[in-house]
Order: sequence, then structure tokens, then C-alpha cells
Amino acid sequence: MSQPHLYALSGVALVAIGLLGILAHRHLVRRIIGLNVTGSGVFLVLVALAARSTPADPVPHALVLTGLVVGVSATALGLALAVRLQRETGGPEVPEDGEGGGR
Amino acid sequence: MTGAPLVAWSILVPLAGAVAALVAGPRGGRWAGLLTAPLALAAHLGLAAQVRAGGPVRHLVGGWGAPLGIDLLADGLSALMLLMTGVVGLLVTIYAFAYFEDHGDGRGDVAARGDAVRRRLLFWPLWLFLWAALAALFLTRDVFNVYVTLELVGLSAVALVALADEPAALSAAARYLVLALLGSLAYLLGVGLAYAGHATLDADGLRAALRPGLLTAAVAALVGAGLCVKAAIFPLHGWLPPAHGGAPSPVSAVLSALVVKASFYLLLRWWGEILPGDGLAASSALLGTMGALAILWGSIQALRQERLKQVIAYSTVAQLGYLFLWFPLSRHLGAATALQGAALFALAHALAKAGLFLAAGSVLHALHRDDLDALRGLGTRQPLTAATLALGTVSILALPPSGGFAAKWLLLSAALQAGAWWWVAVMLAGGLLAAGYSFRVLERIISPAPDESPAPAPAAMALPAFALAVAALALGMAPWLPLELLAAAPPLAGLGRGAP
Amino acid sequence: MSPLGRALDLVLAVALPLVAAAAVARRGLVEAVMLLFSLGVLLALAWARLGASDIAMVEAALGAGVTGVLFLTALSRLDAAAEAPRRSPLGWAGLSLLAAAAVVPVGLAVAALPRDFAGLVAPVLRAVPETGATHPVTSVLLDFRGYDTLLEIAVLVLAVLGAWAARGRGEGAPSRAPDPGPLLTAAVRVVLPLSVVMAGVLLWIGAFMPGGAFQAGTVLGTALVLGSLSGVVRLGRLPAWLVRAVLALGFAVFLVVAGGTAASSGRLLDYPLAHAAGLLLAIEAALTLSIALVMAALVEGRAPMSEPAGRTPTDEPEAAP
Repeated sequence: MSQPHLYALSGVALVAIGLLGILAHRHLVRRIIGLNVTGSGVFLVLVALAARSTPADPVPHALVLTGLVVGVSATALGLALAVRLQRETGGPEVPEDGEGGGR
Repeated sequence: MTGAPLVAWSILVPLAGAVAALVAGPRGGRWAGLLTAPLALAAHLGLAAQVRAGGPVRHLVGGWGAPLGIDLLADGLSALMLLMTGVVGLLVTIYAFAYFEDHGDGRGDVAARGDAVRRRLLFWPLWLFLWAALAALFLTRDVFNVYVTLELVGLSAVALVALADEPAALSAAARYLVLALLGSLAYLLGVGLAYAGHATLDADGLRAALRPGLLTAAVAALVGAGLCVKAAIFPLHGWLPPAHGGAPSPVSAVLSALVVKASFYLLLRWWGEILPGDGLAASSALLGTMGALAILWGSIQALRQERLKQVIAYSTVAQLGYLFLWFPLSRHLGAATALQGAALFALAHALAKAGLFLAAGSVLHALHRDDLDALRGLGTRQPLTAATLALGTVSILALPPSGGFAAKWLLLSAALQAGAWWWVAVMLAGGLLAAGYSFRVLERIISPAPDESPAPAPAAMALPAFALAVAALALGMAPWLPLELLAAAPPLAGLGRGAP
Repeated sequence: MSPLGRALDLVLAVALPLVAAAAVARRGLVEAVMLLFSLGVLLALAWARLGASDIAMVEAALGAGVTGVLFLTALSRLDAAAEAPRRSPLGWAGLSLLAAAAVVPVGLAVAALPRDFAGLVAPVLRAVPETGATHPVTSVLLDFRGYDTLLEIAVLVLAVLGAWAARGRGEGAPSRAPDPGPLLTAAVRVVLPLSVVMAGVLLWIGAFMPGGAFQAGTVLGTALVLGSLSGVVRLGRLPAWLVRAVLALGFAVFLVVAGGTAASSGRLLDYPLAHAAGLLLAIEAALTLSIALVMAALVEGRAPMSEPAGRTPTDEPEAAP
């Protein structure tokens, strides 16, 4: 198996594992961890497949750089929400299928 | 083929407004918003006029052109979506101008006043960023650029929901965030795979390159799943009612009217233009079925709600289902009619739903509660708001002469042309159910008022809501206007494949 | 490829999912976060192996810097000792099956892709001389796809706004080491100027080597965070409107360039060739500042606005000075 394919499949595995993390937990921070893992998996797939070219295709590199920054932004927002939820509701668990607003 | 920069201004103006609002702070922010909104709408109108007169307007950003650079395109559909954003945007801006001033100011303890100041500081830049993001989303032809705009839309929407400062809204925002991000990542992976197979991120380039096969199927599955989550189509709709119901009312209006349409628009582009038509029969049927279930399930759930904003939110779930009927209908005779119906439906729903949510906000503002019994006597106490609710409902119910009626008529005739009587049955059933949940609301509005009569909402809030509802009605009386725009630069050049 | 390289790739490719699985499955929150950090380190190695030096730099700077601080700060404010409820092996198996099923078609599609791939390498390399940079990734990021970058900086500014919205009132004084101590202060006083210099170097070389605004910005941002946490740099002293203005400055500069090009040449972000290099550098400098400040603001947490006056009878809360 070529190096690009090796890493690309590793990335696919990361996507699945991150998805597992999101499904398995209700705690917001755990879900954010899962999202980070999935995101890293997606980036790994993109960059690995770009390594098939010589020299490496710069376009996916630029895309992933963009994606990384976006990911940090999303993580920051999510973590701020988690802390706030802890303060307001006593725990950052996201309720499962809570229909309707509370109040 | 360089276009005049109205395409660029449509995006840059709201972005600049957002920066101005941020720097201007809690006091100046709303003025930045009030100044930016008409300017942005003017840019969108100018662009629509250009498209109507001269056909599609393509703008090669940086002068490079796809596949190296990013192309922006204003065709009939994107110009229409842009206009929808502009009109709803302006009226919501006027409403919000008054809404955020009258909340918690001068009353309550220091902390509550601090909350109000923070809301005023943050709403305007967040809202204008959202506007810019929607404009960018509707105009772009680059599928990765779409990912960036989707994140911009999603993060601003989540932040706006969180502004409500209520525990319910915060939980809803958290759920929305996780699902929005998951959807974006699925979309990104799909796009990445498409590039890995065909070395292009341009919609037209992909259309030429994608062929039915394993890779294309994977791309379609990922892109479809991601966008369906964001579009809140059944059964992935769970995040929508708490978020739309719990957000501040101007935010609810924008979310239901505009944000959900963005994801549908993208699905329409992918299924109608980018993906090869031959392999799409099963997925189109699936999407249509999900739409049908959304119509039925959303309406049934709306019947069970006790709060006005929740009824309206579930109504959004149901109404989105009508849009998804376009997918199966686009593959048969009557596809062109189906597109007209879907576009008109999106437009009419945006106007009516925004008006309804703003009216609900006026009710909350005056009475500090929105359980259905609070609506008793609204007809006498807040006649303008009551009229807004009534007119908006007329369009949602698709009664003539509203825009909703014209749209549903087109969808029904498309279904009949295709011989697909089951979609007809679903649409008619949906109409009956909508009558059910609408009646629960209207019945209370026209019943006699109880003794106490608190002050009605200010005109600056009641009027924009009313204007939106009237616009939904006016749309039905002049449906040719948007349809001509659509025809001037028809999207989906590959439409009609798969038809007998 | 050398056998050693092959072996390293194999180890990394296997280690990545293993560490990720541990991060997702461990019941303790703190351990899960630590495992996520380890994953970041492994990823940086993978980026390096795959020839993505730009990404490796940003991943390392983010992981060790901003993302790390954000997670740790959040942990300090949450009930970090809370353990996830125990899930039966059957439950895990079921969910794993679900996740795997979702992903298997993707894996197959990936495996089926051809070994060699031209991508857009040739068109990019052909067009790079017409941009203001010689490093291809920089050309793509700031020229060919500069519009993406413009929107992405908007996402950054938005993230700060969102974090402020999510935070609400906050907990009063932000958590800060009560007494950083002479050692930390001395170390920071050395590290800070060095980081600024390094950021400047990274910014400059970005035109022709891996580097540029993102790398420089994350390094500078990490330095600012370090300074702020140790008390050496005081960001809270500035007037609120100024803080907001500086935060938006980078994006505003980019926006002005965008508007300027649209107005003058009728085409968005069409840099005139003669000025392209200078424009690119100016934009990158602005972006570096923006990225750094956004990172610092995300860690600091409090929205810059004047709190309303206390119990005075005046009803209008004070706006920003």
C-alpha cells in the first residue's frame, strides 16, 4: 500500500472514531473532542491524497489550513458554551431528544 | 466574462457593516445595522435587475477563473435567494432596531442590564456576518468555498441562538452546534473526495467530471447527509424546534426564513446540477420521502405544541418537507414547474415565516409569555400583530391569493404532470394538518379579550412584521415577478435528464 | 522510500486511530483531553511525513498553544472529575458498528483511488509567478483562493463574538494564576520577545517557504496568551472600543483591499501584478495580527464593553468610552 493510501485510510478510521465519540457521549466537551478527531480525520484524508502528486498538491494543503482555523473557531465556541451550560444548568450534558423549549 | 462588481458588493457590504457594528459597540451597533441593511438590499436588487436584463452574471474572483480560482455566479435562482435574504433582512433589521432597545434596559439589576448591553453589542455584528455569509453562499460556485460559508452561517446562527441567555436556548445552541459541525465535516469530506478524484472544486467542472460510480456515490452520500442535517429534514430535524423556538424572535425569524433555505439550496444545486443524473433516482426518492414524512410529522407535532413559537417552529419542519418534494419531481415531466414551485415556495415561506416569528416576538414583548392562551383577545389588543399572524398563516396554509398558494399550486401541478399522485396526497394532507394547527392559534386570537390589557408592542416592531406578511400575500398576486427572474437566467442547465 | 520511513509511516498510521479511540473511550474527561493533545502531536508528525510543512507548523502551534489553553481553561471551570457513565461493551460494539457502517463506503472509495494523481499541481505552478509569492501554498491561500481566506478570517472574528455570546456574564474575574512567581515571569519576559521575532520571521519567509500569516499568527497568539496568563501583558487596560477595533483590524484591512480591488478593477481581489507582493505582505501582516489577537481574545474570554453603572439612578448604561 502506498504511503498516501495508508494515511488516507488511517484518516477514514479517525473519521469513524470521532463519529463514535459524538454518538457515545452526551457531555458537550466529549462531543467536541469527537468532532476534533473527525475533523482531523477529514484533513488527514485530504492531505494524504494530495501526497499522491509530486510535488504534493498545494490546493488541499491550503484547504486544510483553512479548515484547521475554522476548527479552532468552532472548538472555542463550543467550549465557551460548555462552560456556560455547566454554570446555568449544572452540567454540560446536551439533552437527548428534548422536544420543545423549556420555559 | 467579467461581471460588474455588484456580485462583490452584495457580499462586501454586509461584511463591512459587521465590522462597523462591532467597533461601534452597544450604542452604535444598531445604527450600523440600520445603515447597512438598505445598502445591502440595494446591491442585491441591482444584481437581480442585472440578471433579469442580461442573463447570468459570472464573477471570476481574482481574475483567475476555475479551477484555480473561485467563481461567483448570479443566475435566476441565486439572485432570487439573494433578494429573499435582502427583503427579509431589511425588515428584520428594522424590527431588531427596536427589539433590542426595549429589553431589560433601565430595569432589573446591574447584571441584567449588563446582559442587555452585551446583547446589543453582539447581535448586530453577528447578524450582519450571517447576512454576508448567506449572500456568499448563494453566489458561490466553488464547492469548498461553500464549506467556509456554511461554517460562517452555522457559527453565527449558533451564537445568535445563545444570545437568548436562557438555559433552554443554550442547550438548543449546543445541540445545533454539534450537528452543524458534524454536517459541515461530512460535507467537507465529500468535497475532498470529489477533488481527490477529479482535481476541481468548481461546480461546473465537477458536473463535467463526475460519473456514476463508487467515488461519486460516496461523495453524494457524504454531501447529502451533511446538508440534510443542516436542513433539518425529517428525521434529522430534532435540533430545529428548540433552537428556533428558544432564540430571540428576530433570530428565530432569520433562522426559519433564511438559514434552513441555504442548505436546501445547496442540495438543489448538487442534485440538480453537479451530480450525474443517472444515478440519482434512489436518492431523489429517498429525499422526497423524507420530505413527505416531514410534512406529516412536523404538522402533527405542531398540533401538540402549547407555545406559539413552538407551533411556528414545527411548522417550519413541515414546510421544509414541501421543498424536498422537488427532488423526486425534478426527474419527471413537469420538472420545470417543480423548480418554479420550489423557488416560489422558498420565497413565500421566508416572508410569511419571518412575519410570524416577528409577530410572536411582539406578543412576547407585550405579554412576557407566548403560551397559546395568552393569545386570547389579541385581535382587539394588538390588532396589527394579530393581522400579521392571520395573514402569515394564510400563506402557510396556501390559501389564495397568497404566495404560498401559488407555490403549492405549482408543486401540485408538477406532481400531477409526473403522474405521482402520492405526492399530491401528501401535500393535500399537509394542508389539512396545517389548517389544524393554524386554527388552534387563530381561534384564540379572535376570541374575546380578558380584562387586563398590557401595552402593545411598539410600531417599529409591529410594522415590519406586518409588512412581511403582506409581502407574502402580494407575492401571490404577482408571482410572475420572481418567475421571470428565474427564467431570465435559468439554473440547472442539465435539468430534464432522466425524464421520459 | 527507505524501510525506516515505511516503518515510521506504518507505526503512525496505526497509532493515530489507537490514540483517537482512547481519547474517545476513556471515561475521565481530563484524560480524554490529554489524549487529544497527544493526537495533535502525532498528527503534526504525520503532516511532516506527508510533506505538509505549513500544516505541521500550524498544528503544532495550535495544539501546544491556543487549543491546549482553551481546553485546559474550560476544564478548570467544569466539573472535570466527572466521569462518563460506564457503557457496556455491547453498547460500544453497537455504536462502533454504526460508525463503521457509515464510513466503510468512504473507505472503499478512498482505497479505489489511483496511486498517482496530477491534481492542480501543474496549473498552480504555472500561475505562481503571476502572484505576489513564490511558495505555492501561500499563492493558493492568499491569491488564487484569497476569497476563501477572507471569509475564513471572518470566521475567526465570528468565533470571538460567538464565544462572548456563549459566555454570557462570565464568572467575574477570569481565572489567572494568583501569583505567577519570579521564574515564570522571567521566562515569559524572555520568551515573549523571542516569539514576536519568530512570528515576524515566519511572516516574512511565508512568501517563499512554508510559513506565512497562519503560522506567524498562531505563534504570536500563543505568546500573547502566555503573556496574558502570567500577568506580563495586560490586555484588559485598554478602552473597550479600542480592543474591539484592534480585534477587527486585520479583517478590516483585508476587507479594504477587497473593496479596493473590486472598485478599481471591477474584479474582487484582483491584485495588480506590480503591487501584488507588497499587497500580499500587507494582508499577511494584518492577518497575523488578527489571528494573534483572536487567539488571545478567545483565551481571555471577557467581551470588551463597559459594564453598566452600579446603583446610580441614571437609567442609560454607559456605552463604551
